[in-house]
Amino acid sequence: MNKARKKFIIYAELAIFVLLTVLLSVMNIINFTMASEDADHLTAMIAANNGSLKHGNKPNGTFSDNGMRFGSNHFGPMGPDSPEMNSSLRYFTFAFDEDGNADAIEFRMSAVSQEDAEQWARSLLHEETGWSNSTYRFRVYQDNDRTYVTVIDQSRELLPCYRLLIISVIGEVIVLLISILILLFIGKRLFKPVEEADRKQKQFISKLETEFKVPLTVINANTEVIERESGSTEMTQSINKQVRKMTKLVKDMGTLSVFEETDVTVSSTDLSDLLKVQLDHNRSAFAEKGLTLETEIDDNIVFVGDEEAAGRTIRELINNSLNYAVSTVYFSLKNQNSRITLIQTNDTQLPLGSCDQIFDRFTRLENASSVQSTGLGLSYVKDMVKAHNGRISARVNNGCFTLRIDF
Amino acid sequence: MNILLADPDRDFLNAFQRLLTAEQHIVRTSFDGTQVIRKLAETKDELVILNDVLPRIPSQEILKMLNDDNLPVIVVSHQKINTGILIQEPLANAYLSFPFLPAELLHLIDSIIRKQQTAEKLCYEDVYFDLAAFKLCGQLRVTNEEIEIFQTLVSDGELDNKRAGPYINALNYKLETLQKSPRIRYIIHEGYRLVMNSHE
Repeated sequence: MNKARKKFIIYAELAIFVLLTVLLSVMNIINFTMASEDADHLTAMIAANNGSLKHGNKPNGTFSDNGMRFGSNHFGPMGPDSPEMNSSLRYFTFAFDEDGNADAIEFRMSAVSQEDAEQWARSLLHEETGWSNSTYRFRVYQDNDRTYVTVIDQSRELLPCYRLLIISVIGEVIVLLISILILLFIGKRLFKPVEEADRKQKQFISKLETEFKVPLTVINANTEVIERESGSTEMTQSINKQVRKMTKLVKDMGTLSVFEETDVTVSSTDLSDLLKVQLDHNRSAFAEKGLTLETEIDDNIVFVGDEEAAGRTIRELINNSLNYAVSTVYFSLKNQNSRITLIQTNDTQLPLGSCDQIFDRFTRLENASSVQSTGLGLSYVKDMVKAHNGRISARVNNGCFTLRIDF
Repeated sequence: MNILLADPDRDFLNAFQRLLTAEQHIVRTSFDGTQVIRKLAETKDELVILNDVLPRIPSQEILKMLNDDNLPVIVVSHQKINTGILIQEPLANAYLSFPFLPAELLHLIDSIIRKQQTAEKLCYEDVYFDLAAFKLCGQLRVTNEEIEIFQTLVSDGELDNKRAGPYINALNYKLETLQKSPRIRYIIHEGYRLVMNSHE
């Protein structure tokens, strides 16, 4: 899948996940808070009636009341003020005197015996209000030197809250799955022109390279003929110079399409040897540029893949170091957890951060202005690593440019 | 020297015909495969410079025919030279990838002519190269570059590492195929060297 398309799907999916999570969390929190407020409203009403709803200020909402509205009497006849609440509410109230003697003011509950309820109430004496045993709301209050504990059953009222929570979670998962499918479908259509443009760009580069090769050779030959017949002039020297530049560019282009047009030739290569040999080839080049070369290379690391491509990849990394390192170059090759890790580090003057854009074709970073390069080398490296199902990343940290490849 | 230059690009033919003529060669040109066959049937040239993508008759077929006639060939190729090309038959005496400098072609022609005119053999241990026939131990075809690499290594010279890779691989493959002892190996701090392979 195209990198841009993959990024689009990941970010869009992440955005949907965050939005949905926030929305559903707010909905669930509000729902639960309202259920708690309703329960507190009931316990307050019981407290105001000395521990029982049998007498005094009972819930007296009617169907002609205010109907659906938010507030403490949230839903009129549907809320805690429902006229049916008196008979439907399951609760108990115990009053405790200073000596700890309990008096059952009201006991309308089936889940516990009166004795157990008394113990339960006693255990809540030092609390104020809250939830007990998940679905029971309690309130502790004082009246006439006695401490009252009222516990009401809110399991029926909390059930919709739990249902909403479960529906929210399942709903979110379903929406995320559906959105992935939609994004895959949309992404394919949306990025078709981008992928097409990318493919055409590669085709164009490949075509350009093929079409330029022979003309450059012919220009070279014609210039040579002119120089032989009429002698070398400033003009012919200029032609030669420019042709040499173009020849280098065309040769670089030629290596670009290797992993897009042909299959990888698989063989076993001693990558340790390959790296050591290439670094040894360039030892004098490092010395000429005043670069200190440090290496940490494990022996006998076998790479299964395209040998020539592996060689060129290493050459490109070395060229990168030769072109951009300031004073120190470090190469490490290790076999960790059956993965081959190749690390190239240069000290650099690049700014801090990730610099994955260096893998894009013709991209050269800020420190590249004085360097003669086409910006194709690391693009080749990335294509090669991808063709071998490897991973590649580049970062600048503490004045060091680090490129890491995992096969 | 009589040279047959075969390439579909007329500008290429004109430029190199003039250049080679200036070098005292007699140059005939062909721009497709049938012309090459026809012209060679009329007169056998001493060297053929062949584009690897010729119209009408595939260059590989022409190359096979030229191999059978023991006519030296330089193939100018649109693809990068790799080990695969160098270890299979038919094989040209030399390969040049586009774009190349005229001097590279002229150097190759000179080098091939010199080898053809010598009766010498390049010998090392149990290996010999028949320079005039471009053959290893009288059996396998080798390119001009492979002979020069071996020659350089026998005389303890330094190799151009960037271009030698595929040729070294091909030579090692051919030496192994013929079960000969020498192999080309890279030795750290020394470069490429000929080492004797102990037969397992």
